[in-house]
Amino acid sequence: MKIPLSIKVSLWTLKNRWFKSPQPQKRFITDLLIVGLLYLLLKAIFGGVTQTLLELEKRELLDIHPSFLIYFIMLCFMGLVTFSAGVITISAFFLSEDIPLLISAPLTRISLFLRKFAQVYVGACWLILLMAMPILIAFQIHYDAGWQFYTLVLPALLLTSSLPVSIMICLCIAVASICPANRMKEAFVLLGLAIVSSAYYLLNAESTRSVETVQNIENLRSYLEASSSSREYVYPIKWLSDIAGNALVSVESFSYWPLFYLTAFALLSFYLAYTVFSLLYSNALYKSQQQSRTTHYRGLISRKNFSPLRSLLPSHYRAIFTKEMKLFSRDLTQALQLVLILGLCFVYLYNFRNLHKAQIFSENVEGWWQGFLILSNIFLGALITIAVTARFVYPTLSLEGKSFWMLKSSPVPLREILTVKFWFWFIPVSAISTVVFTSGALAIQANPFVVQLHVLCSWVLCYGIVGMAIGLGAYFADFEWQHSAEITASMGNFLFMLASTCLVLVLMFPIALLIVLYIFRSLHMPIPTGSWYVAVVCCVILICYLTYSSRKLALYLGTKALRKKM
Amino acid sequence: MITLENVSRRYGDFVAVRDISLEVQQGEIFGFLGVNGAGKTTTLRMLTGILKPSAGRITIGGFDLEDQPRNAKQITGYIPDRPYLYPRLTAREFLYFIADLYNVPGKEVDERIDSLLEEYGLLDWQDELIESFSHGMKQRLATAAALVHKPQVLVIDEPMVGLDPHGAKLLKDSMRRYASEGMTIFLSTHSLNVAEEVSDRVAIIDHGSILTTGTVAELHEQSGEEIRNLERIFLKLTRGATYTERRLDEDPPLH
Repeated sequence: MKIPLSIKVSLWTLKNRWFKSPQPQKRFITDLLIVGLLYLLLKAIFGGVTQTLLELEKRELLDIHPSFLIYFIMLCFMGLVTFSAGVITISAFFLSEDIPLLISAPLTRISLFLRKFAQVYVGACWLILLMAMPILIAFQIHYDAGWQFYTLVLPALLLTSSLPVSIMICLCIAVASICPANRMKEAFVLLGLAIVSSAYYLLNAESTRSVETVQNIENLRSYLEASSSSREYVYPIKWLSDIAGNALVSVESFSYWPLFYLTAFALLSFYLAYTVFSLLYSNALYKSQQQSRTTHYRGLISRKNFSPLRSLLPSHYRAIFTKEMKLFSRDLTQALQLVLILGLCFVYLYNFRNLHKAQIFSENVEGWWQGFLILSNIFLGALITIAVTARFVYPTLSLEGKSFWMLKSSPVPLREILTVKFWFWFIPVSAISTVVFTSGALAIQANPFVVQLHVLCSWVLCYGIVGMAIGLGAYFADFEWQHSAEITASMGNFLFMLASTCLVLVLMFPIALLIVLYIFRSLHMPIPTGSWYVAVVCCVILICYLTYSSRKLALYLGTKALRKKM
Repeated sequence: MITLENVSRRYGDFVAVRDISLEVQQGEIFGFLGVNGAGKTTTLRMLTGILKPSAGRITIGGFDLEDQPRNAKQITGYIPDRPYLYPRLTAREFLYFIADLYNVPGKEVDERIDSLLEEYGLLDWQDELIESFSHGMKQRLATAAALVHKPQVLVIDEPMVGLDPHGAKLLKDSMRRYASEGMTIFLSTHSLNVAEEVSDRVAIIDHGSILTTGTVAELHEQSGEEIRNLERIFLKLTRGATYTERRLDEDPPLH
């Protein structure tokens, strides 16, 4: 059987991943670990959905048609597919390195389009479709539907997922023919920020509404039904949820109309995407190539704007700081990741903020609960810091890539290069971390001492975490990467996350001791002032010593590993 | 075989290629010389359809690149200066992929790939991942890939970059042989030795304009230099072109 050209390269690449890997054992362990984690994730989703359905049944809420619930789930999934499809379209159609090879080949327009469409479709949908599977299985088991459920829902799901892909291809090509593709980074950042802010306002409004109106089961039922009223539907997702809901409830009386609509809509949008591609793609591509030759980056990060600050720094600090700032600001992937991370921070703060609504941190609440809340806030803040660091700081050495020889052959010692990189990243990460920690403390209505403790903790934890990220990033540095995402998904990064989580857990002991003693004092327990100060000084020294040592050890290991690679 | 008529290419206000006209005959090796940034790669990218000219017309084997791009591309092979080869494919898989791209008949594919792998010394490496190849091996694979579909026109950008002396000699010999078999070769380089050794005719481009065209002997006659040396002619024509602002009133082009 002849494999279509559109997927040949991907299939061969996948095959070679296992059969041609230079280090098959390492590859096998990595893949085993990934599969294991994926299995746990899918199992958790399945368990969560099953439990939710049981709870709904227990509370007599399951007489609501299942298509309502599936509608909300699919709405979220398709939102994610839309965003991913936008990013991948820009990359696959305009920035991909194989574009010159394909354009110079005598490919028909439709083969080129099919190849790129398949690339975007698979790239944007595979994870979402994978995550949808345990949800659908949970529904099928709970409603005791037959195997016909899958034969109806899976094609419908595949068709529905093709819609955002086609629409985003249309949109991106149309936009790229006006604004060159390689300058769409700013547009995406703005779009991301717009999504985050609108999500904030929507959730805020929803939260107010739900607190005011949902006071019992009947209110919740009417709230769900009102939210699912037809005027709020996004139709293709409604058709998908109708197909799934009806297949769950009764296959006998199943209506094929939604499936027909969905197919017609998917074909129409595919045709529309192809038409836009035929009409605008070549111009949009030439425009992006033209722009790449003539773009002069004179943004905020220019020598002039930073000249007073620059003069204070030693020359090698100036050089590396400027380079890092410029490269970071011009990297589309980094900018998009930043938006996602900001979204994560927002979701965290939003959830934590809701705690004080329940008056948990009031005088009549027991001390242990207050301590637990403070510690949770610090621990979760530290985890967010680790997530930010794993994405942006850990890859910084590997991202030097093949140009690392420039730093290696410079008169700046390797250890100094790592130190400069450490200070460069410590400042922004500690700023983000301080905002997260402090907002969390304010959200639980903590007093000034606890807020100050949060700020100090954020700095100290950042010192250790960023140091470990730089050190272990250098230790596991891989300069032969093909795509920057490989570094983030590497085993080294996974080990960094484990190691830094361990560091945070160890540091939580002295921090917890400080907090417990403070709560005892505030509850008028008899702790002498002298003992209190001794305890504070000891804990602070221990925390500082642990973070300083872990940073020093990581940088030492990193420097040693880099020397070996020279 | 290759015709460029008043071709220009602009990037915003910057004119990379300015109103150039050329004609290359079948079986000819045409050397396209110029300093860095003179407009060589832009011209080659226009010849292969990767870039669209801002003005002018290009035909390959009688096919207009604008109106009949598939026909023109089907008879063209292109070796870029920094070729992109899918790193996670093996050499043989990559050649299969290219053969499919160029619609090489199924029966001939294996035979052609075998002979090219052997010719370019990659037979022992055919099942290794491309990511493990040295730069020279990648360059040889890119050359083999450009020849899989037996093109009538071969466009080469900086052919000797990264090749060892054996690889360089192999490529030069191959170019002469292909030309004697009727293939037209359009060769862009700033290596004057290569151009002098293999080219039947050369053109010198500077600041996007063709300064002169002809055989090395004709250029020598035009220049009035006593010693027959392409380097001296080139330096005279493009004096300080890249590094200082050249005074256009000095040493006008030899036409």
